[in-house]
Amino acid sequence: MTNQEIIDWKIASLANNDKSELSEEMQSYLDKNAKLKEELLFIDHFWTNDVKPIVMPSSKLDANFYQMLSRAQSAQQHSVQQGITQLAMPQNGYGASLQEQPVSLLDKVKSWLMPLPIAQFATLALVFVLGFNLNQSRSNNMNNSDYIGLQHEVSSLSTMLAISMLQKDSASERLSGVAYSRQADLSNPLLVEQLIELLAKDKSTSVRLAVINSLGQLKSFGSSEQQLFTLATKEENLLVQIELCRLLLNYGSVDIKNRLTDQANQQLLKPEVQEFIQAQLMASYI
Amino acid sequence: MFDEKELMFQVKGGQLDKLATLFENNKVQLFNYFLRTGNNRALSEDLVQETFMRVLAYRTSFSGSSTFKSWMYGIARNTVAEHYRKNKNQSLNCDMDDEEIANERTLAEEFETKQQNAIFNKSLANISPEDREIIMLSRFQQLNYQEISTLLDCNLNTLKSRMRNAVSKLQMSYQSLVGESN
Repeated sequence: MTNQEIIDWKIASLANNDKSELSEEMQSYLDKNAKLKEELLFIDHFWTNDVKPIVMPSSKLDANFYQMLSRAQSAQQHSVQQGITQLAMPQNGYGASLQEQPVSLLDKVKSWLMPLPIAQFATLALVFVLGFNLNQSRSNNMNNSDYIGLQHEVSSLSTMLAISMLQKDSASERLSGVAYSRQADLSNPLLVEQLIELLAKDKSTSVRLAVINSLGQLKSFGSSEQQLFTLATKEENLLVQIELCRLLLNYGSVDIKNRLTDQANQQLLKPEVQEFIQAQLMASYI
Repeated sequence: MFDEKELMFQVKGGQLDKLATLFENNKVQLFNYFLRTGNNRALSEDLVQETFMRVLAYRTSFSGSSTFKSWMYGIARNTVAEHYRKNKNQSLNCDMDDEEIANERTLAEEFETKQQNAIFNKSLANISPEDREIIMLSRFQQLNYQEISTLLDCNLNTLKSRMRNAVSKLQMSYQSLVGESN
C-alpha cells in the first residue's frame, strides 16, 4: 500500500461519484499517516465544494450553432443532389470513359489476334486479359462512385467553411473567406446568397470588391441578377458601383444590360458611372 | 442517456442532425471549460462554436478509439491554442488575473465558505497551466483517467503521478494562501 494508491482511489472515486468505502487495509494505513489524511481531506473538500458554479451560455451560442448546422445540412443536401445528377448522366463525364474502356480494349485484343496464327495461345491470353480487365473495370466503377462521394464531401465541407469564414467579424478573415469561396462550389445557392449579402452590407470596400470579383466566376447570375441590378443602381460607393456595372455588362443577360444602359441614358446614375457605361458600350461596338 | 460515440458515428455517416444532441449534451460543460481556462464569456462562446464546427469538419477522422468527450476536448484544446497563436497580443487567462485581484480584495473581509472557494480558485490560478488543466479535466469536466490520458497522450501511470503532483501543488498553494489570510 502506498500514498499514491490511496490518493488515486480517492480521486477516482470522487470523479466517478463512487461511494465505496475505504478498505480495512487502506484505513489502517491511513490511521498511521496523518499527512496523507490531511491530503485526502483537502482533495475531498476541493472535489465536493461548489468551487466554481456552472455558468450558462447565452442563447446566441444556440442560435449560431443551429445556423451553422442548418447551413451544413443544406450544403450536404445540395451536393447529394448534384451527385445524383452526375450519376444519372455518366455519358458526358468521367464515368463514360470508364464504361467504354473494356469494349475498346476488347476490340484492340481482337484486332491483335485476327491476323496471327497463334490463335490458341492468344485465346488464352484473351480470356486472361478479359477477366482481368472486367474485374478491374468493376472495381474502377466502385472507385469512381467512391471518388464522386469524396468529391461531394470535400465540396460540401469547402462550402461550409467558406460560408463560415464569410461571417467572421474581422474584415481580413472575410476577405480570406471570399478568396476561399472561389475554390468552393460557387454554384451552391447558399454560398452565392451569402456573398451577395456581404456585397450589400459589408463595411469594407475591399471585401465588397473581392465579392464582385468572385461573382464574375459565375458567368451567369440566374435569380440573383435582379438583386445585383438593384444593388448596382442604388450603390453609393462609386468604385463598387462601377465594378458592379462592369460585372453586369460583362456577364449579365441582354435584358439587364439594356436596363442598365437605359438608366445611364436617362441620367439616373452618377455621371462617372454613366460615362463608364457609355465607354463600355462604345468598346463593345468597336 | 445517449451513447455519444454512437451518435458521433451517425454524424460521421452523414446524419448531421445528430450533432445537435451532442451539442446540447456538451455545450454547457465546454463553455465552462473555456471560461475556467481564463477566457471571457464572448470568447468562450465563440470557442464552443468553433469547436463544434471543427467536430463537424473533422467528423470523418473520428475513429471511436477514444470516447467522444475526450476526442471533443482534444479539438477544444487545439482550438484555444490556435486562437492564442493567431492573436499573440491577447493575453491568456485574462479573466483569471481579474479574478485574482477581486479575490484579494475579498480575502481580507471574511473567511467562510465563500472565501474558502475564493481561496480554492486563487490557488488553482496560482499553479502551472499544465497542472491546472489536469485537475480541471477531472474535477470540472468530469473526464475519467482513461479519457484524460488519451486526451493528453500520456500513459495512465504517468497521468496518475502528474495528477498527484498537481493536487499536492494545489494544496500547497491553498495552505500558503490560508496562512496569508490568517
